[in-house]
Amino acid sequence: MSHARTLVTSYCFPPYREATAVTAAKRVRELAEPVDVVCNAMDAALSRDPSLTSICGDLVRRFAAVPSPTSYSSWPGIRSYVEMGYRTALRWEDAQGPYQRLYSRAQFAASHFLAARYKASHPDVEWIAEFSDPLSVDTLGGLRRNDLKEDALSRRLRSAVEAAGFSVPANLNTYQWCEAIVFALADEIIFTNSLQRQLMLDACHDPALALRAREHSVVAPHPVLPRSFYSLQSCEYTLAADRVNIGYFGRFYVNRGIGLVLDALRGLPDEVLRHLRLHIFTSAPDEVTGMVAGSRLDQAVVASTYLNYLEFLSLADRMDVLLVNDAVTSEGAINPYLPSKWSDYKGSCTPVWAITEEGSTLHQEAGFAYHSPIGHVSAVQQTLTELAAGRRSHDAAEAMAR
Amino acid sequence: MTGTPPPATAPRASVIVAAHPGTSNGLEQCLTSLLRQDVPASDYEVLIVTSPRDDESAKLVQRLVVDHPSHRLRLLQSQAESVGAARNVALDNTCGEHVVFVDADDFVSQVYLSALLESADNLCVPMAAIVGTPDGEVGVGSDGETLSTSRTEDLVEISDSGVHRFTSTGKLFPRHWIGNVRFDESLAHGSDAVFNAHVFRPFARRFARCNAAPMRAGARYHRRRLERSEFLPASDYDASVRQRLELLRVLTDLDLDPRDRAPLTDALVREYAAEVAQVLQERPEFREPTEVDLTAMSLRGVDVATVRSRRWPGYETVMGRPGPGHAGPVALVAGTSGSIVLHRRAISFLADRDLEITASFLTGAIGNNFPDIDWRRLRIIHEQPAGSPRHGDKRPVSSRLRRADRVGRKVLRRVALRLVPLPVLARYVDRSHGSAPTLSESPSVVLLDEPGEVLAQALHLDAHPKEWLDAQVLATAAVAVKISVAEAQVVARAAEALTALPSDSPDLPPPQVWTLASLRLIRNFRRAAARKVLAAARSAYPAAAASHGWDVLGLLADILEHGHLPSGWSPACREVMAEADRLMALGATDHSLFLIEHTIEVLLHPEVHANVEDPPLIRDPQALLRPLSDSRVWRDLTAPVAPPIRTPSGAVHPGERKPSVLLLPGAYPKFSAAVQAALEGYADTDVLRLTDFAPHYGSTNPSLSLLALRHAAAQGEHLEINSDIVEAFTGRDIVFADWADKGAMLASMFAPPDAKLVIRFHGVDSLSVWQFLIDWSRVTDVVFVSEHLRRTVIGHLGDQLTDVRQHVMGHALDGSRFDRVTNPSAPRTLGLVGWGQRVKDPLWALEVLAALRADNPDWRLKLIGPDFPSAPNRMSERAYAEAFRERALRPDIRSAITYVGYTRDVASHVADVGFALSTSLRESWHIGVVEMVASGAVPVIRDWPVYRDHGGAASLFPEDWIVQTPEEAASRILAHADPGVWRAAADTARQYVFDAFGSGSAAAEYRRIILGT
Repeated sequence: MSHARTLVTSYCFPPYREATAVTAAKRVRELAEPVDVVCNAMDAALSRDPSLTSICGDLVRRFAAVPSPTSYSSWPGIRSYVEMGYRTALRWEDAQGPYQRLYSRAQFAASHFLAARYKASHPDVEWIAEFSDPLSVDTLGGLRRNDLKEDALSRRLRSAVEAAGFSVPANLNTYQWCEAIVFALADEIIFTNSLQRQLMLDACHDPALALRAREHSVVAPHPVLPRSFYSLQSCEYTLAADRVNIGYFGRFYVNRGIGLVLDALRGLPDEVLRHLRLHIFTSAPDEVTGMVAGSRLDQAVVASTYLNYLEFLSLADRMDVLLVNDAVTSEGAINPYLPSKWSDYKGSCTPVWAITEEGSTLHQEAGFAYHSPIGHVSAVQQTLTELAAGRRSHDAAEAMAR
Repeated sequence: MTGTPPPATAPRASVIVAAHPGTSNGLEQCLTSLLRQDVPASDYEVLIVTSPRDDESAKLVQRLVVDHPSHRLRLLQSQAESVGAARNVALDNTCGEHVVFVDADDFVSQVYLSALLESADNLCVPMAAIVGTPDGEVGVGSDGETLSTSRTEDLVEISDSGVHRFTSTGKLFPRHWIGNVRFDESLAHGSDAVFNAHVFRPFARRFARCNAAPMRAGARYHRRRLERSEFLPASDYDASVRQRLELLRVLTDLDLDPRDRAPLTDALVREYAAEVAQVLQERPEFREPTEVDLTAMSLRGVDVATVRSRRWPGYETVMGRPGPGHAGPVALVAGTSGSIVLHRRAISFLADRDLEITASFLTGAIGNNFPDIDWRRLRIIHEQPAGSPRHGDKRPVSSRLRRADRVGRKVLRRVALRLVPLPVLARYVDRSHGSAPTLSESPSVVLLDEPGEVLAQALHLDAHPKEWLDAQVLATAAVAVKISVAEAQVVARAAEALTALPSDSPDLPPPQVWTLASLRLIRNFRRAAARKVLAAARSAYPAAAASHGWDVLGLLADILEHGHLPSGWSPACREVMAEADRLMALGATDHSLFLIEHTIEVLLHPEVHANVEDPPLIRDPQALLRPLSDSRVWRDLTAPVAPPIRTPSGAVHPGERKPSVLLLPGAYPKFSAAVQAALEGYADTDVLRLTDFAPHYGSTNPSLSLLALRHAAAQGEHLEINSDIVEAFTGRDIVFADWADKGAMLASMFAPPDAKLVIRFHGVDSLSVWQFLIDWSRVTDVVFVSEHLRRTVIGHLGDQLTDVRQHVMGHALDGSRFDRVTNPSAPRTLGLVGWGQRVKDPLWALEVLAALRADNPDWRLKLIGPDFPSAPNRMSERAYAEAFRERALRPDIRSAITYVGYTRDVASHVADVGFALSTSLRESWHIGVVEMVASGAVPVIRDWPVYRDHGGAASLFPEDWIVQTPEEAASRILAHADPGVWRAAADTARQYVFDAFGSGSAAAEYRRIILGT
């Protein structure tokens, strides 16, 4: 088996269950060549989903989950990851020669810091860096901040950026540093959508650096897996034959949840509700169940724990409707988020219902069977009622046929 | 060093015993208990450190070494005599994986080490129960009754571990956690606490937990010294204060910034500081030397001066001034845990608001789902403490207790209450406890049942009855921002329970507490609970209803529920306003203004005026406002500001320089942008955004602080307002206030006397109280956005506007944003912009749509703008939204509605609208419909019912645009359904709005009115 010539550093990578791990694995699959992977041991924060390894399993030659403390952004955590990861890469390199290509993905800034550390010592390597979301802007549009320390690592990276003809931000904000380092050193910068690129480059402290980043950037939405993945594993999950089964598989965030749809369901009359069932897959199904237990939504909402990835793909194909929703940003702000789940829905053969914010990337996507504005109970009720009416018509037609 | 040489293989635990002269008696018991551990002798070593002059201890150890050859006993010597120094010597010589400290005069249970080691995992600190055992003997059954076992969860934060925070004993430290940490030998006392603070300070360990599982497995650490006895006697300043201050100095030196302190350090600092505060409260003579010492030490982030006193919240809290703090730690005492559980909701309510509560009882237990408070089952010490006087009874008390024990341990404590005379029993209630203050130290002790009262008498506690807890609930509700449904029930129940107290009870909250609690409930939409509190208040204080506005608050609750003024509103408001006058005359300004604020709120409530077709304020303002206008306080509030407040103008003469303009954009600044743009280049304009100073400027609700300000200004009294606001007015030649709101009132107070003051009046201003509180004698110009609005306001303000120049000028239409409608579906599409509020009455639009679709299913309705608010403040708004959605979901129109949602691009969305609807109950101008017409839609304007009698829509638009009913609207639309007819009518209407409202001349008109140019 050939050695990998590409090193992947993704702080989170399969088997850890996290959207960014799935996308990183999809990118590896897209690369279609052997890779060595350094990630962080995320057991403290995440559960494992072995099925995720099937996305790119045969392409991964060497794999190391380094035991650095799991942390989203603390500098000691990042430094620890970088030190352990870099030592691992050097050890592998000693065994098989230098890498020609480097791919990093963040969500977790540590991914890029490790890649930058490698690039700083291996200027000939081709570095492809991907941002899942803006790092220095939080989900509510505010500045995300966590300061790094002036130490050997930060000094080395500062020198590398300066050697490229740019400067790091005047402050020590880890996130802004991370973005600036990628903008200055990466050979190709992947954004998942153009609004994300616009927001991140607009926020860059140095217009010349932003220009360089734009020139080296590509916009590449999350890859869609081949149809074969949707039948690799079956899922025993039971769907109601007499109801419209709506699947919600997205993760809950501060600014993205299922509350809007639950509010809308609560306001629907019983004759509509009895034709609907919303299936929510979440890390905390008890919370959702607690919210609806004993209420009129008792039969209309079912909450379950996450499925493994292949089960999810299989079930997505069996649902009647798949629901995807935008993150809510403040009025007038750019919405830089594209739900990665949309790529999995796109590959399924099930109609998709999108609840979107005007101007967002998701809003501009085509191919939705149903479309509602975000934060709009009246519109969501309208869609739900239409879905229920469709079910009624279908039932009536079947009855006639009998 | 003598004894067994250091082991070749590392033992699992190194036990460190620091002996010192005078402890040899206890030392033997201590070491014996260690030698009897039920773990293999090879699993642990015992390091005993003695001082050179402590021959007795050394001999004892040497004897034990000989007697126990299989054990690893090592004797070390420390030159210094402090316990800390001795332990440090041992720490330098340990080789175990874990370290255990045992004081030489204490001893441990047989399973002590095995239980601790069983839980050792290098992730947390296993801890044993620490049991006060002053006489060194373990009583019958006491192993099962130690206080520390009250923990219901095994893992607790170290900062929350009770006595374990203060001592290094009773726990098992991983050796590598200690590292180079050593005991501070310079400290007379408290070096254990400082040691712990060091061990748990690094980030990796600061959130470490203690594992209480060994407690349940029988790990007991028997301590002879009384808890915290090192700081006794309390009468000695050095012992009770200075030593604590010294500890605080050492602890605060650990981290330069108090915000960086590790949780344990922080807990210790707070604990010691509170102890000092307690001493100072009891011994005022110590305050002066304490201040001297504090100054010398310059402690950071330490509050030792807080002496908690109890008083009730008053009306000042509504003005944003702070009310009293919490009552301080509260100790609940009961005979049975059931009496505690009975009050669980009240306890939860208070604990959730950070009131420190401990609960003590004799029998029973408390389940896991109880609020997170410290609780303990009081322990009866079976053996009489050493030195206790004998009771006169022939048999010793302990033997009676033993006899009772035979009956059964569960009834032991109950029996004890009957069998044992109270003064004697008091001696047998163990007061030692790690995590909770002892009962006698708690500033507030509350008795929850009869056995609790017996206990209190026995312990000589100065205690409150159980209603005191209810009083705290009510007082806490009086200043609570959020109150849930369940909590509201707790508050209501507390109020009802309080009515059992006699009227002269010191525990009965004063009337204002009931008032404020009911107001907070109303603010949280807990109307039923509010009514119960008000009813209870009347029962408790039959004569106080008027002077505390309880009728008015009842009206407020009714309005929120029913959406209109209830019957009897006028006499109730009159009575309250009479009280307001009386109180003002007595100097009770806050109280008086509180009453007037809520009378205003009742009379001008948005539920009554903002969303109805026929608001009383528009129909007959004089009748509505009579309760106010007949009162002295209202007349004061609306009197001219006297004498005028001197904020000098720029005294600019025309032509010398550009005038200095201050622009107040109001809470909704959208409309002021055009004004600001018009002044660009003609004036030096600054913008004063009052919402930057306080969020309440963003609403039109009454504000007690602004009422107080306005009243003080009318009285010529000192004004309490941010000096930056006043300064913003200084030197201005012109002040322009967009919206006749709070900002306009301030402008009329603070604009320089010779400055020009221009106020623009919008529709919503005509429904708020601020129009009446503006000092119109200071206003030079008022701009109304429509003629019908001007007529309405004249009806409110009467001759106050006689000397004010009046202008009517609509908003400017920026037509450049709108292309003409080209979409082929437009002739069958109705549009409504900004529809998601009751006042916009979108149901009316649905009826128009339904009427059209009855004959032709091609008709559609486009609703542009946000939905109804997701959590509307008003019941009527919620009910309206539900009614709208119910109608919108009916099959005849459901699929014909397009929802756009919030948009920044209205122009593109109205481009396919053929008929522009205005369906509102009231509009002063309605920019949404004008923009649709500008885009090429045919206007269909409802004759806005609120302003119908003042000219209404006809004062702005041609008569033929205006309709009265949905049916008329449908008829007008159908009359223009032919594409040719529709196009011609749309073109005509478009031309009209450009001619009437086009922005071309608007800028010049703004300058003419504001600058006079």
